[in-house]
Amino acid sequence: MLFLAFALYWEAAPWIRTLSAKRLPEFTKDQVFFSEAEPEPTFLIVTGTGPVPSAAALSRVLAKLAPKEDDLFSNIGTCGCPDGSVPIGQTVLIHRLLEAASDRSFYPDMLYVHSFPERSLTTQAIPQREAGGSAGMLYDMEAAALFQAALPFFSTERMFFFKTVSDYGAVSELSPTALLSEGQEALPAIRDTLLRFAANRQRGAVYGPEEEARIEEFCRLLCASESMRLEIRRLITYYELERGYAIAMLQDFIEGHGLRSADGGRPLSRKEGKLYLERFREACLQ
Amino acid sequence: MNDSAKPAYNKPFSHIYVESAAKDHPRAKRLLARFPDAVVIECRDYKEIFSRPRQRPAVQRNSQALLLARSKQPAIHPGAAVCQSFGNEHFYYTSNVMNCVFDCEYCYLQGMYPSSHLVIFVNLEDTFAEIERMLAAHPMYVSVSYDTDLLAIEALTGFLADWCAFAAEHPTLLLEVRTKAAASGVLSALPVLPNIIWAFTLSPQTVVQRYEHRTPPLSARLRTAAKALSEGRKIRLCFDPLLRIPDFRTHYRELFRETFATLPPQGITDVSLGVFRIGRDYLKAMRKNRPCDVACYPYELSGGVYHYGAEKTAELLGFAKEELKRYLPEEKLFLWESPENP
Repeated sequence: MLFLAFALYWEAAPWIRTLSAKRLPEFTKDQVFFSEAEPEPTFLIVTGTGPVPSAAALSRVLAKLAPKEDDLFSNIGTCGCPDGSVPIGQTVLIHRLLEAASDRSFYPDMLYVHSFPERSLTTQAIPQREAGGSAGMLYDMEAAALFQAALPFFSTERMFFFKTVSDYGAVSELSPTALLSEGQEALPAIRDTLLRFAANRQRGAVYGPEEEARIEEFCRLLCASESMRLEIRRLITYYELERGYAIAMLQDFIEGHGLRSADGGRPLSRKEGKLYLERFREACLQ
Repeated sequence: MNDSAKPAYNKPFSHIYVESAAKDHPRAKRLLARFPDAVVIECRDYKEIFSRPRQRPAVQRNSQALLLARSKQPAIHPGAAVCQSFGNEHFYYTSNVMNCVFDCEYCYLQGMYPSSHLVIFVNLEDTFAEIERMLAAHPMYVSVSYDTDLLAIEALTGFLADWCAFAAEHPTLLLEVRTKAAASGVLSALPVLPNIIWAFTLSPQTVVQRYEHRTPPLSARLRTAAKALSEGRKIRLCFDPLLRIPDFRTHYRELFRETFATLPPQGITDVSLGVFRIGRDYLKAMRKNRPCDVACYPYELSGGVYHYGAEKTAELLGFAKEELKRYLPEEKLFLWESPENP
């Protein structure tokens, strides 16, 4: 699943159109769109401009959508390049986000090969209207704030900030037409890259629904507390990685100890469950 | 482009973060010159990257970044309870590098650090000054390669050459350099000194293949140790950690046989033996970050340290000790035992 944040509707518009995304009516305070386009269903969030409003909007939306461990976040938008060192229309991937207000820096992990130039970017609350600034530095009004708002939901290697240079700091306002055209041009390369990044999922021993049901059944049969459940899962993972066939072994254990009969008869007490857990531990180590 | 294709990881050290205070240090300049194609990102403090919340060290392992920093104060720590002092009264360890280029699944570093990126503190001279100050009071035994493998990155850092030069001038300083590397050419270029012990960590080849990713095979480590021995270096063998793998007796018996078929036992300074053990908080972090079979084993906890338990520890350690006594006198064996069975 992709979660894409844009400051302005006109920055999001090419993506909404390309992905045939539909607005989600349950978000009354924010503009949130959703696309089921394969291979990665995508949420598109229009956050508004400025660090505080954009971070607040993103927090609101992510708290409701509850992204999962392997989901991916990206902020896509435009930025200024006051020293003119990056051509207008060039899209860059940001490796350092400097928050002007606090003078703090944030760093997304740069683990994957990509084809974009990399730059640092400063986020400030007011537009950078004058030419100059720090050498090679780009300026926007949201990215560092969005990083902080997204951090509780995404790991540092699942966040990507793509910025297309729209001006050299001397323009008073960007036209929707210019934003649309820049966004449309940058979209295919960014989307390709994001889809590649998103394909890299990290999973340990993950069981299918049927196997999960067996583990859950075992926990229930043992009247397992939360800490017993954790230990059961660890033991199963240990056995699976060390020898394989952990679920078959679990099934044998349940049947071998007649635990199935507890379904129809008297359930085990927690104390009895602990004794069976001890036996299960021994079985795993044999 | 194939959308479903997985992304390729960047090469190790494709990105180098340099503290502003470290960028003009000669060692930093030398290191940066070795990676002319790297993306160099200046930062105020390496902890801005290394200690960020919400990192995934297991994923970072695929593309380690390099962080060049200045240590704010020389970190010379008293030896930890889970480490062996080998009878030395003033036992310390120091870390001028944090993290390792090798990727051992059982390594405590995964529980100790929030990141897998490699940190190099370039101001080694400050550590030397602090050790000199401490040496004025008493001799010291210092392990310099606990939280990394200095020999594996010697071609990159040149730190061991500096340590050797320092040790040559300070005969009351005894250094231990622990390694799994097989860099015999690099090692041969370093001076032979009586106060440096080269400690080779050896594991059965099956353990090397299964758990010690990116490390050289056992045979290569043994060849390097043999060459070092022939050059007149002091050699320590570390069979540590011993793991309770299936059929451990066969695997460890074969390890000891192969070791002493390659290395003359009389030339070995001593041998360290210890079962796998790890601090409580480190194991908790390892289980979260990388739930491998070593991390998920149901250990016993005592004195804040997880271990196999007295009975299993005694069985594993007793077996290894008896096997090793076939090759070495008992006084050359140093054992780590569980806190409840000291």
